[in-house]
Amino acid sequence: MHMADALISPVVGGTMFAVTAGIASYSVKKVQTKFDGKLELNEKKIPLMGVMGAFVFAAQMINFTIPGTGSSGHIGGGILLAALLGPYAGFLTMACILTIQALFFADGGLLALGCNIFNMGFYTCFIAYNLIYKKIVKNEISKKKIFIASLLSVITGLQLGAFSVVLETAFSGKTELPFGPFLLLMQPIHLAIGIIEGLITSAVISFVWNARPEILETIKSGQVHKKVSYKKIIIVLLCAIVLIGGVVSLYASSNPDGLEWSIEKITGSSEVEYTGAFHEFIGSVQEKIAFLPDYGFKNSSNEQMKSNIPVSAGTSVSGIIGSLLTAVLAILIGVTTNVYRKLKKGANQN
Amino acid sequence: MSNITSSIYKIRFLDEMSQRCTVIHKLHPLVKLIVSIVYIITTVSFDKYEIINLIPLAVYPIVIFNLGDIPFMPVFKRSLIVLPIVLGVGIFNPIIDKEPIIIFANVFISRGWISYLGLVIKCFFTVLCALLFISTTSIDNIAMSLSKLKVPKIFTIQFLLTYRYIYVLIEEFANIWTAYTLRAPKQKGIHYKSWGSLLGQLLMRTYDRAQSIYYCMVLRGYNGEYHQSEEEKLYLKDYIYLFIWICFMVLVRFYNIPVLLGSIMTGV
Amino acid sequence: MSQHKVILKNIFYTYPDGKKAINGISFEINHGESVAIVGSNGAGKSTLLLSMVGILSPDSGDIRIGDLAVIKKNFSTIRQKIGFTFQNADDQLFNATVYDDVAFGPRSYKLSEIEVKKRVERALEIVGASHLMERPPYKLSGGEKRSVSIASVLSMEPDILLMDEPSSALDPKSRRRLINLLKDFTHTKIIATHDLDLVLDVCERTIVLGNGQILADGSTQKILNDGELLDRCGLEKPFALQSCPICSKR
Repeated sequence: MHMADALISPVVGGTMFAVTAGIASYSVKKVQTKFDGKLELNEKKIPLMGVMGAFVFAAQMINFTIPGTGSSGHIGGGILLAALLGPYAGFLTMACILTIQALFFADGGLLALGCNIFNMGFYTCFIAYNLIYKKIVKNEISKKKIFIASLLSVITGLQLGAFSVVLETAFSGKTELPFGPFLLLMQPIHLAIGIIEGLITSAVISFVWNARPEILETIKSGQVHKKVSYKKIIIVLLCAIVLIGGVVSLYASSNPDGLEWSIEKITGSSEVEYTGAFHEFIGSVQEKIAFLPDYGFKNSSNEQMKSNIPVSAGTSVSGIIGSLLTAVLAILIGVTTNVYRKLKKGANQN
Repeated sequence: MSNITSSIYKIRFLDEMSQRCTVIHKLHPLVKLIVSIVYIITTVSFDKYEIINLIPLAVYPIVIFNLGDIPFMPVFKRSLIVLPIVLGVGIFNPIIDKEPIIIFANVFISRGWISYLGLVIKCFFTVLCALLFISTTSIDNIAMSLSKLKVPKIFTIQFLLTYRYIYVLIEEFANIWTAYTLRAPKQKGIHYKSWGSLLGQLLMRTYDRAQSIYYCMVLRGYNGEYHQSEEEKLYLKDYIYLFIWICFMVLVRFYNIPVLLGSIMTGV
Repeated sequence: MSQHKVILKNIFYTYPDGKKAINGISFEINHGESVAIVGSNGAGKSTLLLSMVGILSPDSGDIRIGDLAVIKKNFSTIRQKIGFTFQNADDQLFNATVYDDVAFGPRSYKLSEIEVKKRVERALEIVGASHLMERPPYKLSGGEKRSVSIASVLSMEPDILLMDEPSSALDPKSRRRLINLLKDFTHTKIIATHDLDLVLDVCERTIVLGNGQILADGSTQKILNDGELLDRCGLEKPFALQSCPICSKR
């Protein structure tokens, strides 16, 4: 489910980065002040978070056979981390894991990091864990409850994450992948993945609950923090934005040709023609950030873009010659720097 | 199994690379991070049909490969890993976007292929950029540049701790995996009856380990405040490096260099 | 100097699950003494060590390090005096480089970076690991990890060393090096171990634990030669004291 840098636009990447950074800094605050007065728990949590991050990182590589099939699955870890560390520390730990993966395995990229942390950390730790897992397990823990709670929350987290991937891809406009079919492809696949991960997660959590219940994050029953309502508002707002964004883009992409649902028609207006105030707003924001070009949010930009495409034979000849020339230049730079590299090596060996 | 052990070699390979001592390695991590991010943004900011503009961007990886003394093939191979996803998601471009454009005299090609190619090139460049960053910057330096960017300490410490214990835990997991598969041949993965107990045991062990790390910290004076080494200063060479690349990126972004060069050459 | 005396009086400790770990232990260790704490698995060695630094607090009894009682108020001072190395060196080395790990203690006690550097260099020199300074801990061998973990407590310049299984998972050569290193230390040493050959070389006094109680306390030579006692405690005579199986000579 990792998004790649090449698939997103700077606007989407930047926005998601900002959103993720916001959630992360909020989480940092919550982790630090959560046990105010009882500082002990907090300082213990730092090594725990670090090591649990490594745990999930390593655990993601273990294959679990899916009964009755020849295939295998593995865990993502968002819900597991939230169940062990609480949502805030869980989110931060997830963010760490994804950062390391982005750096060392090129899983997702640096620009897409915000998207990836949001897709795999936010939905699981904040929405699925808080609104589903916690609600179910709150009053009393039992094996059955852990089973239902983990399964449902993992599936929900993954569904939201997959939906988010589709949205981000659509907003980025890097591919012609039609929104509807992409969605229809992503959601069922992630339902299957979610069921497997949910089952594994529930197996692990109930095992730990049996053996060492104190390890799991304590969910106090009946104790509702005052801040929860505030948090809920943010969550509901974010959900609304995501949903509205989705519906709008869905509507916008299919509307120009009426409501007929066919791939041909959507792609006839491949530069998804957005209408309405929402997109005008985005358009104007984009215009202000002149460095970041438009991605076909507006019609006028389409024409600009076309001027860049070599349409006439004349420019295309110069384009090709120029390209070759640039390539030659690049190679020349490579050769010269390579000479430097060899000289340096020679010098080191002597 | 091979998955687990090979991953540790992958990390170790990049880690060893980052310990080298070249001009690039000696630069301040912060400027390297900024240049990498600007490079990625510049790369993806081009429109999907503007593939000609992408060509000059090849200069950056070429230079870093050479000045940083990074072997090309291993890093290149690594960058292929993500390609399938991009190829899969992008395949709709040539299928759907069939509007023809002339590229040369009478040769036509559908726009979709152009954008598909663009996507692949961008994928390469961005992935290479990230890999080059990590292979020229050690993890503690990355953490330092993060704290220079005012990323909260709790995050950078965690980042370092996670990285540190990935080595330990992957080794441990690989051992368990080996022990399991030796006694359960012909299985592709862990049988569902062992799902909870295998991972659960590991989890509890990890928890105990975290506790003993915590004790180690406490016994050496840790009280919630984690002291790290002092941040390095930025030198003139760092500013120059930053300046040159930013200028380059701005040029490439706002001027279509190949077309410009071409029109000078052909006199159009 | 009475300052570095370690005194335990009538210590009792029960695990959270109700199992009794320490069942009335008292002893006194003088300044500069090298004491081995031996006993079979689960005899309570680690628990005892952890309670000496206040990580675990006994149900009853009194522990004093020098003039200070091991209570929360004194933790910071006491822990500065005691260098504690864990059985698993990986747990002790949690930083990105060896330097940072050895510097962790001094930095936590807010010494100046110059002083920190001095201490790190000295500590690494003592254990003979100066060349490892810039290395990340995961690239060290088992023996190197052990040396560095000892350096990481030496940098705090402690008076007392507590060591939990210092020779576990070491190859023979590294183990020999460790033994020589420990012999050179003038610190008060309390070493919990199964490695009786190490005990024989390093410690003049041995305390034998079993079921949370002291079964024997006396000179190492005497205790390690008492085959019957060792057998009762789940231990075995060190090779150096066993007679040769072929010629029956020592």
